[in-house]
Amino acid sequence: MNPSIDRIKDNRVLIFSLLGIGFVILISNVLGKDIAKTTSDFIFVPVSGVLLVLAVILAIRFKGKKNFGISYIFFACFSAAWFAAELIWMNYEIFNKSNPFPYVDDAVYLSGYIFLWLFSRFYLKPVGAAISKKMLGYAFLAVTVFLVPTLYTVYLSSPSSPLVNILWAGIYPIADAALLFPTVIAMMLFFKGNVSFLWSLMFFAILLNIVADSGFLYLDVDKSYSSGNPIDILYLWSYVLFSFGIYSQIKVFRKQKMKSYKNLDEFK
Amino acid sequence: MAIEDALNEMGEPALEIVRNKLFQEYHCTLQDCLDHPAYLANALKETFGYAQIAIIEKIKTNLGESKSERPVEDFLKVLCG
Repeated sequence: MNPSIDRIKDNRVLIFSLLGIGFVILISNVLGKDIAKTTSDFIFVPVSGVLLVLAVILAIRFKGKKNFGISYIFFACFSAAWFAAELIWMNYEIFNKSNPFPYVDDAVYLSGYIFLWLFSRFYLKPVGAAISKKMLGYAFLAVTVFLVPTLYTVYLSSPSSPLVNILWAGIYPIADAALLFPTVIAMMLFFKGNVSFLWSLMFFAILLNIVADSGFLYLDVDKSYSSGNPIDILYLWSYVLFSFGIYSQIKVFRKQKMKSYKNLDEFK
Repeated sequence: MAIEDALNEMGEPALEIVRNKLFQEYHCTLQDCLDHPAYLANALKETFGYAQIAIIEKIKTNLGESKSERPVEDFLKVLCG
């Protein structure tokens, strides 16, 4: 298939997925809080599961060898961590179990950030020589632009809430902002390359997470957040963007038809 | 070998896609790139964008002393643009 037609088709599926998820969550909110809660809980598991499956496929393709292979293993670990966290969260919600502090799901989510950072680290390692001071400057600027409002949000959070709760909720947007640094560098580094689509989508996925986590921080400190809140749409969209980014890498690095090399002499 | 090693550092599939691109678009192999460095430069840029600079630097390093030989020097000149 023509690569540009293929890309347009993929982009249509991406937009349809984003709109579909947004529509389902909003409709479930109209139908009632309980329906919204159940719908959201059941959507998070398959959406994060798809990301895990795609990440495992890519990790198998590279067999864990060399820098990209190691990086994809870390991405698979990140996907597994977030998928496990979604399962734990759903378990608490569906069976109405109490979620004791410090929260297990939060610890698993946060471990995912470490894996995602390691993924970026190993992906960029072989092309580190091409990173210029200008790129580092832009990446630093991007982190600052998003980190400052985030820290301000944390500071402005309800003063009546325990400090430990505010800090716990504030870790997420700070971790998101920290991930922007390697992502912005990679986006500039691979610009115009076939592998750039993953990094562009990852950039937007992280931005969505920053906005969602900052919103969650506001809602969580006064305990007004519950599953099914429209803010969940942003989290789900970030999973979709990650998934399409990884899918684009699977397509770029798909097994090549090596038999074509046998015909090389015929071309000459 | 120098090109293969530079791409292999990322992973075998990275080497495969560059090889395939060269074949599909220019009907040549990595070995032929000594005579057609522009083909390799295009394939690297299409795949890795600006990060091709790092790969070219690695190829230079891998070439070692032979980079001062005339055909290799010409090859690098075109590759670096």
